Amino acid sequence: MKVKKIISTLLALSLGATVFASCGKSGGDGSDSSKEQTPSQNYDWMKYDDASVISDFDPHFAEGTLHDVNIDYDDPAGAFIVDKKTDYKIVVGDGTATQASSFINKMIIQATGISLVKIDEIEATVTADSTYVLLGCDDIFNEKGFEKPSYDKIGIAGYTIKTYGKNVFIEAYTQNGYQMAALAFLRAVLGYDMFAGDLIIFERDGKILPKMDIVERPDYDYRQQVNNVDGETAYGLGFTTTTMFINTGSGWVHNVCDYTLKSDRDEHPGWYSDDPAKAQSCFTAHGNKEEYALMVNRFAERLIYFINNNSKDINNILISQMDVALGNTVSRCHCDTCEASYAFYNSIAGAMLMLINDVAKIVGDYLDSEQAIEDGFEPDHELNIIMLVYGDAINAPSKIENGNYVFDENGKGVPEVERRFWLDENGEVYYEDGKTESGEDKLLVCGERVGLMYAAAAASYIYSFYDPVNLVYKNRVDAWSGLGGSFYFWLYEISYYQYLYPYNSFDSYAENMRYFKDHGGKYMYSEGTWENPNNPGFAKLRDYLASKLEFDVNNDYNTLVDRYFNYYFDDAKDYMRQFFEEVVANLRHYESEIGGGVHNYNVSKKEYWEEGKLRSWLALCDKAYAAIEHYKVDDPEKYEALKKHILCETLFPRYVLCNDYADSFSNDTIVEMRREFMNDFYALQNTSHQEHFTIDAVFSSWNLI
Amino acid sequence: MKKKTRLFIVLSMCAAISASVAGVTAAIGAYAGETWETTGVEISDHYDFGSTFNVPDYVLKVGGRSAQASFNVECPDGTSTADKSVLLDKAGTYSVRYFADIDGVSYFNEYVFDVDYLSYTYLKKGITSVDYGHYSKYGSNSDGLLVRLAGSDVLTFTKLIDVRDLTQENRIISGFITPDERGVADFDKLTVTLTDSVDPSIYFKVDYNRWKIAPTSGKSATFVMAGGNGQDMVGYEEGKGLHVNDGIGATNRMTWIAQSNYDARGNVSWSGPTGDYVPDKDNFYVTFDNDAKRVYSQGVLVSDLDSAEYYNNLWSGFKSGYVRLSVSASSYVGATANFCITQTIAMDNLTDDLFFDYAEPEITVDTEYDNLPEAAIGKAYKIPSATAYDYYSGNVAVNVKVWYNYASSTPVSVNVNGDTFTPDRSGYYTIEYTACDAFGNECVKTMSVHAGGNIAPIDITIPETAVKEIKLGNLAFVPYPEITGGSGNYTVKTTASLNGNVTEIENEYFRPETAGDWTIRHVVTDYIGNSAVAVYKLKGLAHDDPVFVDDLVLPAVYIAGVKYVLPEIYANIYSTGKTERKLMKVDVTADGTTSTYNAGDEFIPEVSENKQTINVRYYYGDAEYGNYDVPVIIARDGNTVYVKNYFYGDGFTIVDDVYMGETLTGIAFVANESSERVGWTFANPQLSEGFNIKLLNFGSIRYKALEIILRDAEYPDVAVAMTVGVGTSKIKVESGKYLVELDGKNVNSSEFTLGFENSSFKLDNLVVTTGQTIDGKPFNGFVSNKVYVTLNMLNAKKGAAYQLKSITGTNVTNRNVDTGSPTLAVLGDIGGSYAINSVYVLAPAVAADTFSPYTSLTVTVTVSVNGEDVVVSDVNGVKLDGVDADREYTILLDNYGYYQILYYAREVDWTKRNNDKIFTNYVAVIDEEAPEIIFKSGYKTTAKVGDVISFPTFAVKDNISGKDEITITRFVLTSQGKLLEFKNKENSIKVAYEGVYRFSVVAYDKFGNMSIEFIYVTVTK
Repeated sequence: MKVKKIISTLLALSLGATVFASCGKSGGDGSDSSKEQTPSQNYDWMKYDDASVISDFDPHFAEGTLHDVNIDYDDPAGAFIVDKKTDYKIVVGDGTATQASSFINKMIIQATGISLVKIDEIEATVTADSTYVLLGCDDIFNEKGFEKPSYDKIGIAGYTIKTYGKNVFIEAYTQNGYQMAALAFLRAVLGYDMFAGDLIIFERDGKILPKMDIVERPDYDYRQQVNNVDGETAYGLGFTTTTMFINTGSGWVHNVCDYTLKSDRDEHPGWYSDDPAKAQSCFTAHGNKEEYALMVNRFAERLIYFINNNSKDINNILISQMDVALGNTVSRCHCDTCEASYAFYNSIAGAMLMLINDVAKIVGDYLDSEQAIEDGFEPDHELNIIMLVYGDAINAPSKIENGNYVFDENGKGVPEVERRFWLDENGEVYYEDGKTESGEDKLLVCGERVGLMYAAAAASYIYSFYDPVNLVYKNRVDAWSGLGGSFYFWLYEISYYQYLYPYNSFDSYAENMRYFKDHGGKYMYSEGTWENPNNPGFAKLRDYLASKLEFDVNNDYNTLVDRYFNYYFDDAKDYMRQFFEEVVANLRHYESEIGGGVHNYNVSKKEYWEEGKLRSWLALCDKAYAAIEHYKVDDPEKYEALKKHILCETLFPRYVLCNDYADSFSNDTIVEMRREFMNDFYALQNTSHQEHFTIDAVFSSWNLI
Repeated sequence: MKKKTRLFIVLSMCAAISASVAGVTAAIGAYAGETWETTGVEISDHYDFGSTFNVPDYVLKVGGRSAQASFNVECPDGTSTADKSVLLDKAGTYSVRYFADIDGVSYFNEYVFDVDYLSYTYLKKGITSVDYGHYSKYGSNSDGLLVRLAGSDVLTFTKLIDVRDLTQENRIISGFITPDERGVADFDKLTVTLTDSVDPSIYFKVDYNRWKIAPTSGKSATFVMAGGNGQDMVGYEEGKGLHVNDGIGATNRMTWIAQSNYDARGNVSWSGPTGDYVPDKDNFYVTFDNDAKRVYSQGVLVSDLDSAEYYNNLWSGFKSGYVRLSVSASSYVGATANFCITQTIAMDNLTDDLFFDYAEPEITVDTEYDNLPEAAIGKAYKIPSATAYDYYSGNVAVNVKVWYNYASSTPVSVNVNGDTFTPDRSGYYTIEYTACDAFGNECVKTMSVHAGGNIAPIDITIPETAVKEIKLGNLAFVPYPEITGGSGNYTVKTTASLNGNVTEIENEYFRPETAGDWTIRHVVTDYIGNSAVAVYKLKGLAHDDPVFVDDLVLPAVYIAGVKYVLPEIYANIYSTGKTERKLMKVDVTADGTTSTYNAGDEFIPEVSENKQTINVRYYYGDAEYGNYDVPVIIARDGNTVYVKNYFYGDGFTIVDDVYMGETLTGIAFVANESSERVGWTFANPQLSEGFNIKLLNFGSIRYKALEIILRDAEYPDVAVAMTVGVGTSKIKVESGKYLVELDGKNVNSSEFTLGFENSSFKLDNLVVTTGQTIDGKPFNGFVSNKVYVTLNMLNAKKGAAYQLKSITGTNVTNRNVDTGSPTLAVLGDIGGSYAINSVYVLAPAVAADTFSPYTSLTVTVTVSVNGEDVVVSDVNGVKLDGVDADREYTILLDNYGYYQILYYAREVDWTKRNNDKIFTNYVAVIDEEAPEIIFKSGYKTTAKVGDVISFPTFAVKDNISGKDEITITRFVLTSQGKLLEFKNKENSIKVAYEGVYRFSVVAYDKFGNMSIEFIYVTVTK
């Protein structure tokens, strides 16, 4: 059973003042610490005499983000909900705000037990003394002298919240924007925060409606949840819950073959790669100008078809190579012109980007046309045509010298000339460099509406991209970022071979969010497990970090972690925090041996997880259970939620004990332990111990099924 | 305000007011003069279900004195509470009782009110709402209950559903989702639950899960799953198979957002809705076939609750036959889950808000009499106890009264003292049982008792068949006596006594083993407590004839050339007047040659032909105990093991070259002729625990069932059986009283396994608990831990066949080679973790082999001490180095680490092939104490940006691990959120930012026990 917890205390007041105060170990006043020990002759004091100094960590805060938040509780706009009564009504003037209004009302019910009456916009007479929460009532908003920030400024997910007299206006452009606005409104009025699907807190009592003047844009317009969470939880955590990418038939990614017709395979073989299966597209049309022009037109025609036959609220569409992972080993076309282009750019990305630019130009012309208006598009319709930076197209087609990318003074790649390769009548390869109207070399950059999606599955996410370990991947991103265009990022946050083991990307996460924001990040998917909704290894912490850091990359990591443990584990926080800190320290110590690859088995080697560690952590979990025991009577629903949180984290040490230390337990005990593990694993609705593999094989090897 | 009664009780005067006339008590009189005044709101006659009743305060006033009253509230279900605030969550009559004392007199006042009997109930009034009405949004046109369900609220229907005759045709509930806003889901899951009216722990539920691959997906399809109590949620997706606990399942068409992802041609768009959809176009509806225990929705099978195809544990169905319907929702997105119920068999008419139950509770009197026995005047008469149950109110209280002249116009109440009454005059007395349910339906049941009639004295006659004299050691017949007189049925206790030794006799037989005159005594007692005694003598006579008392168990089949022990049994000799035990002799005759042994001797059966019998004759002196022909199989010749010969039986042919492709898969058994039962017994007993045989189909099945019998190798009365029946599409499994039906996955698929574990049979993963033996006695496991296995085909036609692939892991083929190793069972738990210096008891173990009749089993225990493996001795000094494993050993665990317990099982006197098997277990003695970390005093807790902070001096020590065995790591969590490790001898950090820096030491000992300590340094500019 899901439990939505309402904690309407003012815990934040104490939380804000303490850093790890839960451990009761904060420092003193500058002299000797309060934690000093009585010196004893029995102790062999350890002092490291080598005075080598390690460097402090330099964070890379992002600049130019928009979080203009002004909230005044001291001079409130009005009394919102007092003694389970309110004068406020909710007004929805824009259908895209409907879900947001429902969510606001639902949270108000949870926090206060009452709901706001919903009325139509036409029934609302807004004066300074009226009491309305108005969502998407643009005309009234303008009447009162306000101006909604431009779409360019706040984008698809931004919003503004302003109080007028006792009223509140909430304005955005899309369903996503209203979602984020709803969360901001709830934060301001009720102290809302969601930590997981079963834990929502309200730190304010809702009596005061503060004065608000807020203009915010999430740092990533599109924010994908890390792990498998349901739609409602994703909404409450502030992840994008609307469909983000247009489906082109075979899916939304690895879809380039959707851009041609079946008949084209026979009629235009030059549009396809030179392997027998024609597995990929040929982005140079084998050097045939006429065929290339036809191909561009076909791609554009298909793309226009796709955007017309999907919801017009979906703003992103990918043109991406077919996948090479699922048995298809043909990564690209090897015709003469493709080879020439690859040799010049050190990547097939040059040819691919030119094709997509050409397609985007036609699509752009269409979107700017009267026909598009007739077809139902707004004049300023946002459409992002995304190229997948992947496989043989992962290297940026930017300038290279001596085998290395050339970077400008900002550390971004320097664009290379736009060079197209053709075949002459003799079948010889020649090229043509693009020229500007003024006759200068035309540089290959992302065209209008063209963006990039980058996925570096081989990078190490226990380090940030600022770390030298990831230099090769950073260089690629840096190089690409010099070519303009919005950037869509797909990162990885778990060991995909070992779901149930912890993966120590926690403290690198914030820096990665900042790095990718600094490099034009628009979409962020830090993929965890898309299979298990309750994965151990403190995966839920990563959901929370993502919800906060994808919204504002400059959020403070330490504060977020403190806050998470204090609320998510409540009275069990001390024990679960110690568990977390010991796990993280263990992983940090062995990280050079384990490595950070998300596709290796190192992290599960027995040598890193001695039995005593696992037992110690389970002992901490037992203490954690005991610490929340009183909620069984005081607040049974809360007890169930907290118990589930602890139970989820026990899965990791229990799994390792069951797998690697069966000899330490009696035959009956290990059978019972394994059965209990299986029952709990399933009860938590998990399915898999490794990506694409259900855990049934493990349970079968344990003779359970 | 409704007052039910107004009584007062004057405790000190109670006896004076009660008029007692020869045990018949008059009603208590009433008192006037007191007034009850409330300081709050007076109690109404009716309150709404789900509302909160705040108990008003009352003050009692008597003669100018007043007192605040205490109270309690009795609820319709019989529970009571003294809470000031009572949630009215039960329909029926509530009683509010006030008590107050003034001047030593206790007063009592009672008010009653009703809570309406609604057709359906829910608790969150004001948020949840249910109204009958018309729904017309988005093109709909339906009437029904318009439900807006909030949070964890549950809509529960009052009328019970008789589930016994439900079939797939009976729609239990129908409806559709009514979203507030087109395109926005209010919730993602709707749950329909049927709960047993008597035992609420029995239920099944049906989940409707919104299909939401994309969060805004509006697909007009829904995945349906079902599961009973204790079961997973399972749904069968047509064409794709079973789903378990994954939110998918049987596909139903219905919309949650008034939109659909299906286009006009029925194609699915995966990225979002393609068009509008009328909400009531498709209704969900649940049906349930009670006989088959199958759940359907929209006519589509969701799951079969008692099928092993769907679940590992099978649902046994509703107990009472009456169930309660409820509906709930979860995965809310909006404030309420909104839907319309268009029909339910839990309401005759959806417009009826109120529900009335006219059925009375049922009273059950716990008595064996239809007409109660005669009572005696002046003698207490036991009133039979009674219980009452009502489907809507549950167990309800039974009041008992006794009346004299009940049917007259002036019946007289008779005193009831506990569970008896005492008649004081002749005539008819009536015991009146009354029970009332929460709806006010009252049931009355009476039983009549006559008193004062003639009750003849109890007269006991010893039957002529009673044995009066018997030779010692034989069973004497002690028949039940003939009895007349008394009232009602009798109880009889029979004993035999001699020289002060008393033995209770049951089942009419007694074996005297001491010479002398035994006294046989019958004590007879009737219903009203009258009793009588009858005594006679039984003479026990000494004699010289041997008496055979011991049971003899011989193997069903001998294996030639194998050493057996002739069971050691004795003859009893009573010539001295007491029991003497004399060892018996045994003649074994084989091929015309007789050899004589003492019982308990070893012998080796030898025959010239397979299946030839030998005769085993037990005797003492001239008296023969019995003689038995036992077949002998020729199982081995050197290293050749004649596998087929082990299957002892008639009526079948063994096909021994069964291949599947290129693989030899086993041997097959083919019935020679049609037969009701044809099969074999395996000649070598097997370990019962973990036993299994793998079977495959072979040709046409042509039999109705397979019967497997496991019989204790030493206690043949202990035998259990499981029958796996084959139908057209089902298998029946029957063991004792257990019967389930399985979908026929095993019948037509390749392989299935019959096994035995934890005192239960197994059919593949299905556990079939068998609580009794084939003789109907309680089954408590196999005493010897070894069993003879019999497998029969029942109702087999000629040519009926199956393959046998393996027996407990040993492949059975025509190669005549024993490739299998012994198996082991430890007769208790083994291994585990223990504290240092604790005592561990190593349980005995037993081993057996598939083919070899004898298996030796030894055990060796070692532990590593200073890097060397040392053999452990038990507390009695026995060095545990290859000692017999058939007994307990107690070990003192005085070393840390792992004690290795190594079992060595060997086939004895068998083939030269080495099939020995080693089994290893461990007992862990683990240190669980983590190292202690302390920081030396004097470290600073504040610093300035730019300062170099040295890592504080610290010490680590552990209870076990030495300095070199402790791993120590050091870290700093910077104020900017990065965990940095101090490696090697790095000792300081130059801090560059304000905030708190957290220094930590992590240490773990050689067992991995880990500890961590922190120090915090606040850095300012």
